[in-house]
Amino acid sequence: MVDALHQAHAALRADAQLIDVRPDGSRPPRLLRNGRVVGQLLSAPEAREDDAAADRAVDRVIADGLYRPVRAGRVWYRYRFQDLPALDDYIRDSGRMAGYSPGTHGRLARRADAPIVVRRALAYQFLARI
Amino acid sequence: MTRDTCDDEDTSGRLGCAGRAFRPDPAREIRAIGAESRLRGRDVLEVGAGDGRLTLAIAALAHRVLAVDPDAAAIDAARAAARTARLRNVSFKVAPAQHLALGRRRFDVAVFSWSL
Repeated sequence: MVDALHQAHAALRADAQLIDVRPDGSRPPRLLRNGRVVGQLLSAPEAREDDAAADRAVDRVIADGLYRPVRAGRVWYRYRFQDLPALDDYIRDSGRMAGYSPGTHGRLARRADAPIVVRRALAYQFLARI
Repeated sequence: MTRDTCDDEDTSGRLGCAGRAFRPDPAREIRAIGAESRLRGRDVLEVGAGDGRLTLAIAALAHRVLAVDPDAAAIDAARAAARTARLRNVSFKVAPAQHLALGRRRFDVAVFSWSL
């Protein structure tokens, strides 16, 4: 990851910026039904390791003086699943998600045919090339 | 420097998200992070472009876009999508992020979307 940030640095003009956008590993996806949070999704250990490695890579190139933080933030977006089996299918196929927070699946299963909204956070950072 | 916003404007069934990838609508993603003005009219390098999900939305704003990804099949799909969208300001390259090999070409913005 550090190598990729170095490669981008070499390809950027002097006044350029780098934009890094990715899932916010510090904010687990929230599950909502009828507008109320009923639980969370848990990230896979590999995903958490990848997130931490990416954070370290960004910190490293800033510390090395290649980039300067300009601004950062977080945005939330929503994604709807038709019912619980559809969400189960997604989690089974996902490399990022490991499952549900304790008790969540049971709560959702009481109305398994009802839509579920996943509210997920993206973290972004703008870095100025130095 | 850090701000925390919630994209709650769309409460319809579609919710502004795209397909099984469980990702937001690309144009909304760009707008939500406040990148429109930074991309408009610029030469943009997109690293880890994948199948071009975000590439086309960037191209709608940018002067030129070079989209790079190590997955040749994904780049083929992105190229086809750009052709379908009749975008003429996008080019594609199969390369790993660690070895972009861009020669002397320089850019105003580099975008790493879901790729670090």
